[in-house]
Amino acid sequence: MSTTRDTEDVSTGTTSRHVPGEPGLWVLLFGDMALFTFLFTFYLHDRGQNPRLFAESQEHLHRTIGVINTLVLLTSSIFVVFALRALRNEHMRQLATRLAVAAIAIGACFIVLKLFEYYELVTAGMTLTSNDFYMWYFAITALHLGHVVLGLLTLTVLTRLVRSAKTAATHMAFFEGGACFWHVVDLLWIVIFPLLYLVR
Amino acid sequence: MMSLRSQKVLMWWFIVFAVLYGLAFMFLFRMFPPPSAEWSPDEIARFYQEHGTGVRVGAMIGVWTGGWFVPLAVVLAAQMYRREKLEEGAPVWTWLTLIAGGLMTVVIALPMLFWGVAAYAPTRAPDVTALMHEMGILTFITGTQYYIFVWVSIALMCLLPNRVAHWPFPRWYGYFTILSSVALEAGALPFLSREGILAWNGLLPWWIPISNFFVWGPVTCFLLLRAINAQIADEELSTDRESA
Repeated sequence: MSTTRDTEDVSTGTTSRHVPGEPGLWVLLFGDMALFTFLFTFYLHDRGQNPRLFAESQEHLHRTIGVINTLVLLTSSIFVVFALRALRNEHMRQLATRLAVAAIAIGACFIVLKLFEYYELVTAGMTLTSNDFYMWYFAITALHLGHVVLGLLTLTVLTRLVRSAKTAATHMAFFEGGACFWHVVDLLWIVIFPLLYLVR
Repeated sequence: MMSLRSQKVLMWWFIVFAVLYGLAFMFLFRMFPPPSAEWSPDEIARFYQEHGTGVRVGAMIGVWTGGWFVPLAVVLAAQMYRREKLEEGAPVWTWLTLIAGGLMTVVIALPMLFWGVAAYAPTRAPDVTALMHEMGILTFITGTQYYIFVWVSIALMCLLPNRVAHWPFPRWYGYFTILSSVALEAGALPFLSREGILAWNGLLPWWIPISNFFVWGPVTCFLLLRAINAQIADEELSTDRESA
């Protein structure tokens, strides 16, 4: 996926860089990433204070589910990329919609798996208030899960918006923006998974 | 013209009251950040005994200034109405902002009242003092949902096509407002834990939302006042043309 596209201005012959979505959107995306960066920083600080507790608690997490969830989000993101490319071609509008729906369906699997994972942990006696590690684990992953839900809702609304044959440029920009948000959600998980599940 | 000048008055009313409220919050109530949620009732009672006068003076200031969100909500609604009146049907986002402004004020004004009550009888049973102390803090920090009604209204208007001149908020502000809403939702978390990042003085419910608020407030004031001034200038220009 190219992050920017050069659009040639025919009248002047100059090229201008196109910001995916729109410039203002990146206030939200960078702000959100900054929020998570704060969380990661403080998590690492707390982990440094209590390495043994964090390492022992980490052992109880379901790494396999974590790996599957990583693949789920990556696959969903790829489908969104394909949908966006198809959307740019007027004749491939229907295909674009199908690809977007597929992306949403795949992304929804993340929620199911995550809830199953929470259920397994809670029934085994590990909850938010069990210890510091689990507080961090549930807080960070629940916040991310909220973003996944928001991202899927956004993609659903935007898919309906671009469904019709005549799609205005603004609707395209919105879809592109929604796609960017979804990629950020994916990117966050790619940091969260090793941070919480793997790194000792 | 009167509406625009009135909106300016309301903006300054909001600014002055919010600043006074904030100063009382920090220096009289010493709640910036709130003290540890793991204090025992005896420790809480001692806090109100030691700082009783400051807290009661703060409560008085809080009662006078706690309504600061109302004038801001009215100005925001007035600006939204300029857009919504161009469409058919009820101006629902304007109404939502007005109602949310009123309800949010309850959550802003009550905490200082509760703390004032806690300091009102410093020798009463510590458990009772602790209850008022906790009611104040939890009300202030967890009661954020009404802001979000306002912010959703603003974000929607920022991202939808605009036909009025001098709409105060650029598109990036709409996205920033969405970010603020996400940040403030964490305010509900302190019920889950008395320590760590979920506590009422923790990273998620306190530091992130309050930092966001300190950016949101000045930016919003600047953008609103700039737009109102531009609208006044427009009206003066058209009045001059009519009389010429």
